[in-house]
Amino acid sequence: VAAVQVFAASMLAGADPGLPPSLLKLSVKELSEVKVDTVFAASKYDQKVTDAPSSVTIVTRDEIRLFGHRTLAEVIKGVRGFDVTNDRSYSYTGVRGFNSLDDYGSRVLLLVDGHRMADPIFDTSAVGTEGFLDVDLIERVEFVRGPGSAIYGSNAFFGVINVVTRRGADLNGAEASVTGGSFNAYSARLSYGKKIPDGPEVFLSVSTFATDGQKNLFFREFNRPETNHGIASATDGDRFWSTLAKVSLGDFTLEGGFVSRVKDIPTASYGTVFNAPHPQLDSRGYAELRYDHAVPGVSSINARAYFDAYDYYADSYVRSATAARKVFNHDMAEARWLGAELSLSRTLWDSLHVTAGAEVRKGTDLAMRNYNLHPFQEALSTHSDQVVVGTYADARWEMSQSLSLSSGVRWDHYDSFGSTVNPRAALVWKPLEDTSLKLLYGEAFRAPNIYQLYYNVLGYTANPGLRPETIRTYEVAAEHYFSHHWRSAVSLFRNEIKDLIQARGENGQTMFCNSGNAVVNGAEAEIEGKWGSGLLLRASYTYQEAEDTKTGWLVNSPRNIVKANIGVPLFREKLMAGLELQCVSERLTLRHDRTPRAVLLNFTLLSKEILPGVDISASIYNVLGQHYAIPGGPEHAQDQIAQDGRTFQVKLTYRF
Amino acid sequence: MFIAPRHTAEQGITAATFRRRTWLGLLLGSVCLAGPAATVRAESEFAVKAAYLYNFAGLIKWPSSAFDSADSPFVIGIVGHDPFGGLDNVLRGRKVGSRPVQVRQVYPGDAPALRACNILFVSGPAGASDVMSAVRGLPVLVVGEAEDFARRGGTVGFVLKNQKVKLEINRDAARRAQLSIPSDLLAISQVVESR
Repeated sequence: VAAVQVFAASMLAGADPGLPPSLLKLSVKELSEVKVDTVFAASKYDQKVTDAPSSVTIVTRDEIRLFGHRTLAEVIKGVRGFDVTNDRSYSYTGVRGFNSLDDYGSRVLLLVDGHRMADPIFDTSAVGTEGFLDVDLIERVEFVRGPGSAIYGSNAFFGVINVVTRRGADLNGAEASVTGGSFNAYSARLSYGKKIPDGPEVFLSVSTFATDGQKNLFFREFNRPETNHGIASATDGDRFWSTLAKVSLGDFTLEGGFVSRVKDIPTASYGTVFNAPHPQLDSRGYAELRYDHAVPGVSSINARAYFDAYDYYADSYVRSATAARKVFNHDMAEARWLGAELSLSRTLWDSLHVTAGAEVRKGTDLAMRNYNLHPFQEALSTHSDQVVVGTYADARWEMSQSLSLSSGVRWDHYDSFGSTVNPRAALVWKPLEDTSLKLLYGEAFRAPNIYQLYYNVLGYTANPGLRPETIRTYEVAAEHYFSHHWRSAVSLFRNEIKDLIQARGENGQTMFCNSGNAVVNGAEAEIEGKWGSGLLLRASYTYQEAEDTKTGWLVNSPRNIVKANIGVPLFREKLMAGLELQCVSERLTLRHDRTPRAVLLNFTLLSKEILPGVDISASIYNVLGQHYAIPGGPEHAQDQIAQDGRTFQVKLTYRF
Repeated sequence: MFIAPRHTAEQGITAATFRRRTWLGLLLGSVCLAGPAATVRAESEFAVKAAYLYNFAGLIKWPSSAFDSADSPFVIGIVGHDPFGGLDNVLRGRKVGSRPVQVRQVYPGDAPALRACNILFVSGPAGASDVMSAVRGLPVLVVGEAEDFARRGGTVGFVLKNQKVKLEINRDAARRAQLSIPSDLLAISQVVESR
């Protein structure tokens, strides 16, 4: 810390005292294109971060490039209060001390341009290579902490992550990018965007990625002669292709995206045969038509209608119960759903801003199948549909120049369990324009998904009687800006979770049950400094105590997390260095062991416009080569799953 | 619609065939047109607003009656909380033409002080009506950031839109204040009418 202080002081010596003077040199036309900090996801309209009824963090495209993030998961990892683990199958997002091992990151709602990404079967928030977006297409990411069910419904349990993609006008031409990295990892991207004056704005991008993954992985749980002495060879590959397209004309936008990823699973999860091929395919796509209209006086009308699809196929070998020989098994899920949402936002009597909306989603064909081949034996075949209806109202009342009250409530109805009502309230006090104090209360729910309700194979039993799990949260958040360079934030929070939907094992049978309550108490502090030269300093500390009310310390919940990011302009903004530090304390594993604490250091050198239109970056991840691990979920024989050591990536981007 | 993989485990999609397929997709998707791409770092909202105010001083034409003498200062008044944290520091020593820029804090009830300014910035959610009644008919540019500020009588309103600070200009209000707004400023603004 002392070193950072000295460093900061030395960098500050020559810095200007007030506003970045460079802005004064800009014309009004240039000023009208400068980006400022606002957030959409907190209330479904653009508002100042300090006015939002939540604790909010914005990560911009420039930061993503500066720190060399390869996936959305790596972007999320850098944000205070968020945690991502990867078990070599998927990446799982946890928030504020809660990252359960038996779901797919379903307690945080992931949105892409406001579009809900969770599928109805597994509620996946896909943020790793299975994720929807090439990080190069991200303009900014909004992180809204705290429950958002009062406007978003299910999954907005601990928070909302809204990814805003780049616009055609910002790209204004074509861009190509290639990367190469450790384990024979290669990727390529081609994008094109343009705004035709008084005409449409278009954006189109295609990306592909492939890696061999680790050549040999050792798992001591399989250290037996018949399982290759615990060595899984060439079973960690990963490849995807993805595309995103947008066309806007006037108030209408048509947006569509698709990703298809194949991951080889090296851990022999779900009792499959070790060191045998186990490719797993996830495809996710959507098409959405949006209408965003601002009427003078009436602030805005937003409407969207969409069609979504998700497919999952896993091929593996299993040992049949009767024969010693291995049998080929196919596990799959297919989901198709469509939906529509309308939201209206209006200012009344100068001091009251009201948003109201309604939403309907219909899962038309939600199928899960599991069968063996040779001999054919079907273990599972379910088809279900699902109708979700929700309606909400949210209001922000400016009681005085310095005090505002936000409150909202949403009603949701599921055909599986019935109705749920979730309110939230926030009192925002700004004693000074650059200081805000927020008192926040919220309730949220996570509906049981199709997988938890109806999956009954491979030792799982269905439980159609599941109810939603619920949360109540209390938070005090303070934010203060010192001059125009420093911002500090402090949060104290308490989360009370009831009726957790968890996998419970008995007599070799696993069933999802509403079992267990948990309480998380925590505190976060963050300080951030930004300068016109491009210098960036940020450090945060989180302490969180997550306890199951019966069994104590929750699994996969580190108590202490320190994060720091430093961006230094080495040669103006032509050459930037980005240093990222993440220190995570021990996590409890399912078998009551503890993972070692991890100190991760990532380093990126980024050169912009080294030649006209050319950017180059080189990154080293886990510079210290730390050996660290994350707890394995119940589907793994491994109690701990080792993570990658030191890796690298180089990236070349060309705009033309 | 979606490609269902018809492979068995022995023939699992190999990285090589996957790459071949995707490279083809990339080639098919390639369209090229020239054009520079610019990136801008996210700035503080108030830094941008401050820079706008400074620009207004240089771009907009005030009648000579707005100033006592040829060398009297150009006065920017902040009504309400000062959100800039040092606007006077940044603008210290800067000039508009030959006039030095002066930044003052003024109170909404202090009519003589309001009238002594060339630009008034009304901070926070406050509307224009109080300030406008004090400076009606005088060459004072009244700028604010409350919702519909320009529609409710102010001259220029700052509006947050797509993470950018955009302008709404009430031309009638500008005309009444004898201020002439140049076309390049109007071109990037939305012209609105009083309600």
